[in-house]
Amino acid sequence: MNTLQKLGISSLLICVLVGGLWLSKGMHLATPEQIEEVTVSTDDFGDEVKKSEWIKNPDPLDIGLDLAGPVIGLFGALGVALFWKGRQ
Amino acid sequence: MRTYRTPIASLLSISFITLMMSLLASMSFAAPSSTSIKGQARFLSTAPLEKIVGTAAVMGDFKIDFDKPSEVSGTFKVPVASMKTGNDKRDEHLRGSQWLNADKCANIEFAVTGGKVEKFTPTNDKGISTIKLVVEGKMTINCVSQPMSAKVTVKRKGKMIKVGSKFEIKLADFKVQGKEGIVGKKVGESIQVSINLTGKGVS
Repeated sequence: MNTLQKLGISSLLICVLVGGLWLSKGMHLATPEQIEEVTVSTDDFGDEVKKSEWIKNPDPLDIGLDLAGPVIGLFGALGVALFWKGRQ
Repeated sequence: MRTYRTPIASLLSISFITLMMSLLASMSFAAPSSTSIKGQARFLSTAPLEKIVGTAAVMGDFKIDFDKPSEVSGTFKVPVASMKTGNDKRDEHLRGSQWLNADKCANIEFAVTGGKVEKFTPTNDKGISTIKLVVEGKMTINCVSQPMSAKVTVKRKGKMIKVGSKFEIKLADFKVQGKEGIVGKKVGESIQVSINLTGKGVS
């Protein structure tokens, strides 16, 4: 196996890893840049009240298809191209 | 010595008494003034490919007389710019011309025109009275107005008021078409909305 083929396989591996990460994080279409933080309190009427606030998503690996898609596409194409070139 | 009142003085005193009586009467049976209320709306879109949760600020004026709750009135406004879904790009799309068209239609509005009482719970030991009613009114989204009704719970405690509701909005009813192929797949055809508002100063 030559260098180009190794690079090609590495690219495909990145592709699979990013895809796996996207699958494991809930397969969001759009990257959740902020997440909803719900605060539960009791109001003056004695009812439980939920108030939502948006905070920056602390998980940088929580990616959506908007990020994962291009990365998978790019590395997938690159991997195939490099592997193909390495075989010649 | 006998005093005589001029006709003008008599007229003035009668006018004064009438004025005072009408003032007193208006104080006793005054219609409630509208209360400024505000809070938060939470909306949920469920589609086969994606579930989107969002929030928005809600503000408005609300008028309800607990003796005549069917004469409820008010206006609620949701600035489209305040709607958040946790992704800036998606929020930008939401405000775009294919969706809620925020440039032309800056607010989502619901004007309450009346209501039907479903249940009235008189003041309990905590001083809270509750009315469950179906309010009717006109909803305006994307500059398209449609008659709409929603189940609403109104609670009053002293001068405080609380309004809560859950309802569903069909995007097609308001000509919110979105980008082709998105509604029904990535965005639900109907959006579930829940609101929770409070205000002070109920007369």
